[in-house]
Amino acid sequence: MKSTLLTLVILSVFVCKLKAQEPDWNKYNNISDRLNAIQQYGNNCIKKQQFDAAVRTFIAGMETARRASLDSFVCSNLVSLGVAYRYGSKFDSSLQCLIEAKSIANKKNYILLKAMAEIEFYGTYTRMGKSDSTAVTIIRLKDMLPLLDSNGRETAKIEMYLGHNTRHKANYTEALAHYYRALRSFTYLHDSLNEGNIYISLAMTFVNLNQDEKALGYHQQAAKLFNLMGRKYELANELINITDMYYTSNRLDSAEIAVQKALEIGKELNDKAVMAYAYLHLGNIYNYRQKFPEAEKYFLQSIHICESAGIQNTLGEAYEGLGQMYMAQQQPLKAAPYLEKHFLLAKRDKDNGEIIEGLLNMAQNEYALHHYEKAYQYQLSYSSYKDSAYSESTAKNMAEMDAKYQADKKEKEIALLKKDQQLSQASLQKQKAFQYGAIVFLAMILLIGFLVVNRYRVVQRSKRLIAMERIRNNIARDLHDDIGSTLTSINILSKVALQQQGNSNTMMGTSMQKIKERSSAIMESMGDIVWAINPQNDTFEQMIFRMKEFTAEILDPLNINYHFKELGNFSNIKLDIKKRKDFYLLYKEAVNNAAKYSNCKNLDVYLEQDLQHLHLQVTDDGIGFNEKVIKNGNGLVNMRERAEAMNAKINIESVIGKGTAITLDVPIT
Amino acid sequence: MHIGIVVYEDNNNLRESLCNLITFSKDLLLLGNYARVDDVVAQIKELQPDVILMDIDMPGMNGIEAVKQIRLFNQQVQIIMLTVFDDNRHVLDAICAGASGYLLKKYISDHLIESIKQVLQGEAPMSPGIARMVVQGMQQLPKPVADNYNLTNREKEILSNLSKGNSYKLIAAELTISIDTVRTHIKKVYEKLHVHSQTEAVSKAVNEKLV
Repeated sequence: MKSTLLTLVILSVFVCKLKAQEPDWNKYNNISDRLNAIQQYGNNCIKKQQFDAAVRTFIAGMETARRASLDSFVCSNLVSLGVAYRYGSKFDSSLQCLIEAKSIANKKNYILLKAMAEIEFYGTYTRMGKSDSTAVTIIRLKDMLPLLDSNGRETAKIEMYLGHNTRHKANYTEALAHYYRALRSFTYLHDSLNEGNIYISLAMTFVNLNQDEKALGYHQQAAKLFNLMGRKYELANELINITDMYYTSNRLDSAEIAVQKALEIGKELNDKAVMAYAYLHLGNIYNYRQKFPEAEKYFLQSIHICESAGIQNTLGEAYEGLGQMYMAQQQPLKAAPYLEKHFLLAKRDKDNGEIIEGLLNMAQNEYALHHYEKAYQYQLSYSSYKDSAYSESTAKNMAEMDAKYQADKKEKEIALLKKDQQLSQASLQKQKAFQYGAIVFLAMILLIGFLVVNRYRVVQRSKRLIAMERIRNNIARDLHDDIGSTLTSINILSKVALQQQGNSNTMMGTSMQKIKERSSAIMESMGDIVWAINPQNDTFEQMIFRMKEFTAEILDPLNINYHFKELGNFSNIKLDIKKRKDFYLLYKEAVNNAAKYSNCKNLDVYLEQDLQHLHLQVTDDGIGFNEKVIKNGNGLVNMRERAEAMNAKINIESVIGKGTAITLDVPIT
Repeated sequence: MHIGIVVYEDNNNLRESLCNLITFSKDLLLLGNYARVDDVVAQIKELQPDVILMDIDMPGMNGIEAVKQIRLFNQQVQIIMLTVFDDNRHVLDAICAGASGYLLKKYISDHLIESIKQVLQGEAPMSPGIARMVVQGMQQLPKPVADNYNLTNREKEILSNLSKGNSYKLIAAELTISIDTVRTHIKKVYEKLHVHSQTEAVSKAVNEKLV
């Protein structure tokens, strides 16, 4: 019982372990550590061709980044996910991830991530065989180049793709330029594997350009690099390539050395394909040297490996090689089965070139065997195949050329459209900038203009005001001078007349007296007006001086004692002309009334200023009055009217036999 | 003993009335009346008046200039300036130039004879406005120049009091001196201003501020 339980526990733990293939990411407390670990693990999964695990890992990474709101990591995980899906041949999912990554990169303006997404788009589209999409993508990649760090991995990759793209379009010089730029970047980045790949691409381009020597040089460099890196598989392939190059240029010894090395590595790696190919080449080399037994041995070895390992493409060549060797040795009987095998294989693969070769070989062989009928049949087949192949190849060429032309046209159109778009965008931007500039400029001009005009207006207005005030003042003074002099003369004349009359009780005397008094009164009030409008007198301090002068002038001759009391600072209070006049005239009325009617012995003037008000109190100890029975109430009415004009509160209080108190409360604003 | 008077006044109406008033005053003797002061030197030298009534604002040479010219050869004659305003710096200018006093035109009918008698007795009227200007002028002068006027503390005190609008009576009461003493002090101030009439520093100081 106990032991069964124990086994169960162990089993369950084992199952758990099996299930939990991916590490527990939560062990990384630091979020960036966690994300880095996920990235590394995912990349390793891809290297180990565990694509499902890679997908799971990158999904975990994406979710972790999303939870931490790290958009750039979400984006990079999406790109990696796209790669993982592509390797897993899930192209739609791959595109979906890349589209999402690109939209994030676009929104956040992550240029590098955008480039990475585009690069993987290219990869996925290429795998899907969507040439239109790859063409568009390659243009986008090209456009991105200026935005990227010229030594960056992305730049190098884009250059490499651009190289492949242009090479496919037979634009070899441009392809070379791209490859060289990619090579420089990869060298700078110490990315030897890609460096080697670029060497191979360069070599292939030079083959296209019929510069075999240069091609050979680059293959050798690639081989050297792979050798240094210990990349046996790649090295073996390169050695095969080198062998090919030597063989086609008839440098059989060098070819043999290279192919022997390749064979050695193939044996070491137990790579049948490499071994088969190496033996095939050895066979070819020895056949060429007319060392037939060795050649035969190598061909047979190649055939044996191919047949046992199911390597088809090399097998056909081996059959043909061996068949042709027997033909050359005048052993048509030995040759026939191999030639037939080669032909059947070619027919199965529908490789027209090989079929034609096979038919020709067989026709010649049957002829050598004196089977003329058969030979003739083969010859006929050969001719018809060749014709159809020719027409097919021309059609294919035409189609290819047409496709190429269409692709070129499309590309040019796209480029043109793009350029157009850029141009219109640029002009739009220019226009916009100009518009903004114009608006800002206009606004500034308006503002400055407004300020200047405003300032001018203010200056002009104050100038005008000052000028007007001066003119007003001058007019008043001139008027006063002139009329004052005339009034004075009337005043004096009435005095003289009075003196001459001697008796002021007559009708004429009273009239004269009245003329004298009235002219005096007019002079007085004119003086008050001129005083009030003089801007020099606009402070309340000036007002107090004048009030005192006036009081002294009126009360001193009547022997009435008066007392002034002031509380507060009056030098800062400014009253406008109207208020100044009203206040002063009200005060004069009050003092005049007291002097004329109250028979007082003492008069007190009290002035007080607080924040918003001015208080005036004029108190006398005279006989007082009853406002209702007063005969000539004009003075009181005047005072009330003036107070109202000033928005002031006035209080006239009088007690018969005790005196009168007039209180005024003027708001200062 | 009549008091000889010469009148300078450009307003014909006023001059005529003035002449009437003087003619009908038993103590006064009108020696001459003119609308312009251009020949003032010759006229005064010839007429030898006791008192000159001089309008301040006149076409051609004005009253202040005339006072200066008179003072060049005659220090004794009393000159009373006639003016509409007493807060006018012309009044101060005239006093600095050597005028003995001034009379507001509106008071001529009631106070002319009194004023003439007062100046002859050595009294000089001073309104708060004029006192204010004198004080201001003194304050604005550089200290050595102001000291040159040799105003005593009492005189300064009275001037300052006066400039605040207080009457002679009030000043006397406040300083516990007689009104006559106040008048004497004022007269002294006048004299001191006259002595320095050539420089007219006080007047200039006020003018500079007012302009």
